[in-house]
Amino acid sequence: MNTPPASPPETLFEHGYRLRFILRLCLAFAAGTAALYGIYYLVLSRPLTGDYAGVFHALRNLSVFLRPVIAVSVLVYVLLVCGAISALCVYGLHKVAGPLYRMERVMEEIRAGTPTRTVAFRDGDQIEPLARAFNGWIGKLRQDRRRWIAALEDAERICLQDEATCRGRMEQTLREIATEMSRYK
Amino acid sequence: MKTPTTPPGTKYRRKIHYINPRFQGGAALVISAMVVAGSVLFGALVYRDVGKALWEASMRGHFIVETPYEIVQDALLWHLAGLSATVSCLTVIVFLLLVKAVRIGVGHAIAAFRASENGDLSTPTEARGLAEFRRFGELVDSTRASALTRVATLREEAASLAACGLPAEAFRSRWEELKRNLREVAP
Repeated sequence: MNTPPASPPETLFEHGYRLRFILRLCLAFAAGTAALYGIYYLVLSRPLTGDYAGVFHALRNLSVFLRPVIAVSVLVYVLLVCGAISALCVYGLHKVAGPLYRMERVMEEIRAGTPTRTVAFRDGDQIEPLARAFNGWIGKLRQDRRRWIAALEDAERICLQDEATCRGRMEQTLREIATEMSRYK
Repeated sequence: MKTPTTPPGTKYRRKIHYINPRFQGGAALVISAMVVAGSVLFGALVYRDVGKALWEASMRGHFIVETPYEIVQDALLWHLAGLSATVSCLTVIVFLLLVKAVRIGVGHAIAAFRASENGDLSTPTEARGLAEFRRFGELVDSTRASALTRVATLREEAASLAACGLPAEAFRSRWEELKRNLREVAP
């Protein structure tokens, strides 16, 4: 069997959505870098006072204590930026995760045979063509179902006539429906 | 003091944020890993260059600066700019790759739904890209397979009923049952 051809390009993501996400990411990095700069500035901007020996020892001590200062500052940066990124991924990507979750729920309902509504997305949700394609399929299936039931009901109406005509018409309708159903494979 | 009033007809609706650990968590983890790697590299470079600058300044013998910051300013700013630019660029690349992976996965699911609309319920979706979309593709296939099974059963029932030659009463009973079952297709 052949793989279904990939769909023609459609706007799955709003242009602004991608741009906003990238901008927020850059803002998070800028904030982290500013915090990092602030820490170094605080540590390194103490004035060098005293005589030559005092300044010499201050600089030597600073270069010795540089390792813990760098370790703490990098840790603060990582925590700050990773926290911001996690929040951004949760609050930014839920516009993709939400629609997927909704569609999974609707598909579960269809598999269970419970009455379902069409998939409706919230404002700002992305990947909307997926919902349209899904609703198109379910809509077509419902349309076919209505037509099959209407055909059966039409055949029943003929039963006001004699029994043989009625039975013949019903059997013919059943054959027609079976042929129509064979479209699904 | 006036209390703020809600305009009539305006109802407060809680905004729901869906969290998918595999999708959002995975993206956060990849970006965070890059931040950690970049930060460790930054720390190592700053330790080497700033430490060296301070040490050399102390060895020079005379000091024309008022704060240590003036000694290390250039190296520090360069490294900060490098960290910021590298991590930002890599993250933007990862985000664009993520968007591409979503587009590939969703594109296959859309193609599968369109094929289903034309009656093809058995060709696998084969959604590629992220694991989350492969799982979603399997769910789509399972839903299509379930619809196909239901339609195939009804088709067999309709065909067998048309050819069975049952007595009128039994025929009518199976006819009604078929109608009932038909109503369960995409309810």
